[in-house]
Amino acid sequence: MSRLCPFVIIADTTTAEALLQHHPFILCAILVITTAYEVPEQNAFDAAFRELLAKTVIIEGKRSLDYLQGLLIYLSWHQTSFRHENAQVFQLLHMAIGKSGPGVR
Amino acid sequence: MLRSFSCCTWLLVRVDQVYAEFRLIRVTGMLPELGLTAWDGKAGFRVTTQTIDAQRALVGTYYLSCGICVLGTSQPQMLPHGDCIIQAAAHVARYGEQPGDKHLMSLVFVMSRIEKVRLALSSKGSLHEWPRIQREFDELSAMPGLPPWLQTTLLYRYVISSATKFWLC
Repeated sequence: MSRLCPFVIIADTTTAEALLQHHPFILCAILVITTAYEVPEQNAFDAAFRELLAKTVIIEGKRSLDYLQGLLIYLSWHQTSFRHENAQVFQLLHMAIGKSGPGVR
Repeated sequence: MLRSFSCCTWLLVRVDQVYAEFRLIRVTGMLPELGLTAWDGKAGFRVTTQTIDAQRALVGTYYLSCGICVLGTSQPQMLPHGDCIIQAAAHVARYGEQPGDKHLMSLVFVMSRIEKVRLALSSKGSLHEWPRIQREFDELSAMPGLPPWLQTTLLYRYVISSATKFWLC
């Protein structure tokens, strides 16, 4: 995946457990885009992704590179999870731009 | 009474002339919001530094912004090309360890040219720039060892060439 999207680098040796522990948002984004052929699972992961995004970024106001990288992954493959009823590509892109400022660590 | 008194104070005297401490608090409160410092638990505030992953993510945000807004739809560009994008791409190209990192500058260059093409599409006055832009795209696509994501981006040069022919006809 890093070969096609060189903006988020995940080492080959990184396990899902390590991602869940250190970068849960990235793992959630990966799960959304990689379950394109299992629609119920993708819908569930998509809902979890959006809930996690709203809770941490909007309600708790956290700023972390994890959220920006997760958003980049989600937006790079947004065509795999695109649904007309909740399409928010531009809102999420605005959010990614807002989070790509100097405060991101 | 208290409310009117405080209103008079705020209107007649600049608050930062009266309360030096308040000014200090205000400035230190702005620093984390601007991203210059961050609260680091017991260690207190510390100056943040942009990691290479953050700069890589900034370049990726620019790439997505240009790709979605300029190429995908007719929306205005949300994150325009600027010095911070160039500096981030140059930093990643210099210190990055991934094979495709050295091509990030080329990617930023291509996307900035796509922005220019988009602007030229909206104003016929910029048509004289199109042959030069097309020549730059051709030179870039002739570079050996381009990664697949950059090759995909360069496909847009065909869009540019066809658009040029359309406008010149």
